[in-house]
Amino acid sequence: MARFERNILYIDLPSGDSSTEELSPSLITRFLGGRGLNSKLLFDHCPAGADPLGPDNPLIIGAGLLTGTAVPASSRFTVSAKSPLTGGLGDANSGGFFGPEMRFAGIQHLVIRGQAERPVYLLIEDEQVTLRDAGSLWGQTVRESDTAIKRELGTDEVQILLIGPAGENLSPIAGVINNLSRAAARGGVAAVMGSKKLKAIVIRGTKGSFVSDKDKAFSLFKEIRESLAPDPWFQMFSKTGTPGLMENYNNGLGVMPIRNFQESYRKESSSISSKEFLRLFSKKRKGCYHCPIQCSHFYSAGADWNEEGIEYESLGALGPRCGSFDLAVILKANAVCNRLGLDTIGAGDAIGFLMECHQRGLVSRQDADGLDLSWGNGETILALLHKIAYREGIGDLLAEGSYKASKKIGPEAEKLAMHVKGQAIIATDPRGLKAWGLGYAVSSRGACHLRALPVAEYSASPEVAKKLWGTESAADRFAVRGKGRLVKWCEDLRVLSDALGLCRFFTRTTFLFPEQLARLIPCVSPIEFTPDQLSRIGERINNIERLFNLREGLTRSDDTLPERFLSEPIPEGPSRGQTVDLESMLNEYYEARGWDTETGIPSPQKLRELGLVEEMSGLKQYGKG
Amino acid sequence: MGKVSLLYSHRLKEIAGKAEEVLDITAPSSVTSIIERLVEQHGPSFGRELNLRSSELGQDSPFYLVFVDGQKIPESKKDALLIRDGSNVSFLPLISGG
Amino acid sequence: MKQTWKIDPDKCSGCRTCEVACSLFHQGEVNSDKSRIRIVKWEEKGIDVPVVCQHCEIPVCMENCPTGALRKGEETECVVYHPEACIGCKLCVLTCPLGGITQGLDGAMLKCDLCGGEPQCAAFCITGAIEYLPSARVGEKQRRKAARALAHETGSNVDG
Repeated sequence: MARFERNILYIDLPSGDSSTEELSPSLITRFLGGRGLNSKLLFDHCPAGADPLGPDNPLIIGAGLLTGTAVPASSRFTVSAKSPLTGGLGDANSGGFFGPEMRFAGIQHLVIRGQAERPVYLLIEDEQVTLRDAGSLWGQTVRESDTAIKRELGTDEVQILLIGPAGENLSPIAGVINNLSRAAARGGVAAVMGSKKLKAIVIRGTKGSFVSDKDKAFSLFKEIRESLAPDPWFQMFSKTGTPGLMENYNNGLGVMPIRNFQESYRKESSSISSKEFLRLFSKKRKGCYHCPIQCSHFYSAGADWNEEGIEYESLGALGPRCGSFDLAVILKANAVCNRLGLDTIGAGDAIGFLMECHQRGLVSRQDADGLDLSWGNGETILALLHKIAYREGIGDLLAEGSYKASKKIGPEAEKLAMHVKGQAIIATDPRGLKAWGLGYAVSSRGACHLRALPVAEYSASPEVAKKLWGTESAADRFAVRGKGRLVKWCEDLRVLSDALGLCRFFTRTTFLFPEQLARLIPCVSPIEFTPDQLSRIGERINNIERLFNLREGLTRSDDTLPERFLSEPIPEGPSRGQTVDLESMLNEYYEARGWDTETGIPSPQKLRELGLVEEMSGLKQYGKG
Repeated sequence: MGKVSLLYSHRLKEIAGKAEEVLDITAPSSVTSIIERLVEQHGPSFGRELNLRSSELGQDSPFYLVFVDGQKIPESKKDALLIRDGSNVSFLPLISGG
Repeated sequence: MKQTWKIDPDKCSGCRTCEVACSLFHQGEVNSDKSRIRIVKWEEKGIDVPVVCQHCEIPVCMENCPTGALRKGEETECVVYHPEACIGCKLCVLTCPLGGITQGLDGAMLKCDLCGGEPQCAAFCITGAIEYLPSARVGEKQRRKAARALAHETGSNVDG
């Protein structure tokens, strides 16, 4: 019978020495797991001021508390480290089957410290931990290494987390890839893995996961299925996946970035619609571990371009953002990113940035190794992806991300880097969705829509908005009042999905709330939580992430947006004329959070309330308390 | 007299057979009255699709949100005379993410 | 009427919910290594295939078992495993042409028993890749699938 096993496995490089520690109930009750506990472990184990690409930066991989259990949609895991992109907290989240395999091996968190001297990969088989030589794998693409490792071990039944050439070459816009096309790609975590000369982590677990009450598990399973089946959201999403969002963001809301955010709406966009994707490229549906939604697809964009995907973000980043509306090229570019281990968002952002620099005469064809930098040139996009991953020519500059690249080109270029704290902004223009803009600005990992994902900004009714966030204007996407409270509210709820390891598409609305989440836990865990405890945990996680960033020297001035969003109105479409008035939203957010409005530092009272006193005292040491 | 531009997406677009169309109006209209006319024009399956309910923040919600000139019109304002000559009306399904 | 499996790899999304349902039902835990149905993948090709005991008419496993630990039910089509008679020689594992029986972690063989008539894997498979149906229906579905392809080839608009 599977035990309830929740271990932290510490691994020290270069020795390969490892030790396993059972997770203390206190850590679980304070932070749950996944992103939440990762952030706490990062706070504890990463010394302030550590070089993100140095030996002191720990690479932390955390399965959620419910990952790999009988609870549906429980595939997710988080990779955390100090970010070489932002200098603050970095994390990325992925699905597929790697997280559940961690659970089956009894591991909830992996903390990898130090650096290897030569390329290695980690092999974990239940309790057995070995460091193996990765000399022959170094330099290979993700696919090549996945095949090679499975051949070397004589089995396909392992789960593998890999970096490609981009991570090996320490690009902060590289991504960690599992199951060939599932990416934990943000925050520069793949560069951290590359700096440790760690090519891959391979896991095989046979211990299964604990179930306390089999009948309860089955009835929950059935209940979830029955509630999803008639829901038109579920029906649409499981058919189209996230590419279906393109029509909403472009035609409906007019917030789809085109040509590096110079425009946000294009009337004729059917060439990149989900309908075209399904008709011409998708071969079948794919799903993550134990998922009832199964929003993914397996597509073919040509003989060598068979891949799982595509996500809206990747579609946006490699397509319209770079001026391309050619779906075949976008799908190839997505495949290339997976194989080279690149973040599609970071890469698309860097390429779009370069193209705008060229448009404005800041970069010439000669500077770009002779490439034609006109918008939408598919060959150029594919060529640049290779150059970035291998740091060739102009790729060496772009591999740092648009923000750092812009600083090397000049002040005019700096205006064109669409980032927050160094991390690329995603495929939704915040000028048409003000709360999203606030969310990007305050996100602990730099520009991120998933921290808050304040969809309620346009989906909630005015009555609900007034009740929950104090004003009807919180449900007006163009207004600024109420958005601070809305974003805090969303952030505290959404983080729970990440700490539990549940897919956001599952928790999106009903299973968003602590009352419902608390019901999922007892059948697979002897530790139970009240809804209030869960609410508190959500707030606590967001605060400890803030503390980490404060300790690294990030301040209110880093909670900002590119000048383009603050002062250039959207030229056309349903969000025409809009800009973001950030300051008032920021004030309201800090107030709602109980953080000092000038410094963004959580008040001592708030930290006492959340039980972060010990962590706070650590902050005083650095003159930030 | 005036003209209203309508935008459909996803399944609504399939049922209507087109992504957009123009409607004549004789006076400022409400969302309700526009929908009534569209159902007459495109048939009961169009109406059924527009009547689909989903959940948002755990609450019952229409599956298709109605936007007029970029602004969402809540259910409580469905009968207000908000649609005028030159208005753009879109029907957006409640799917979201990133 | 005889019931039988209808397994369609084209519909299988690789989610492995069947493995969860099976191990949960029989073992009270979630563990792919204790599941009697397994998904075999070629990830780079997007191929996912459910593999499970097909309860053959002439079960090779039963024919090879030296102790009679595998017996076909009198009234059912199910080939049932009797662990108390099993000596662990694993001839069944080696001779099954389908990979439908394996040795579990505790030494006993792992083999589908149709969950007493309502296979849980089929009940929870959301794509319909795994179905357990009257044999005649399986034949009908296979014929229809092939016929549709043929009709399209000859220009008939089956979905018009």
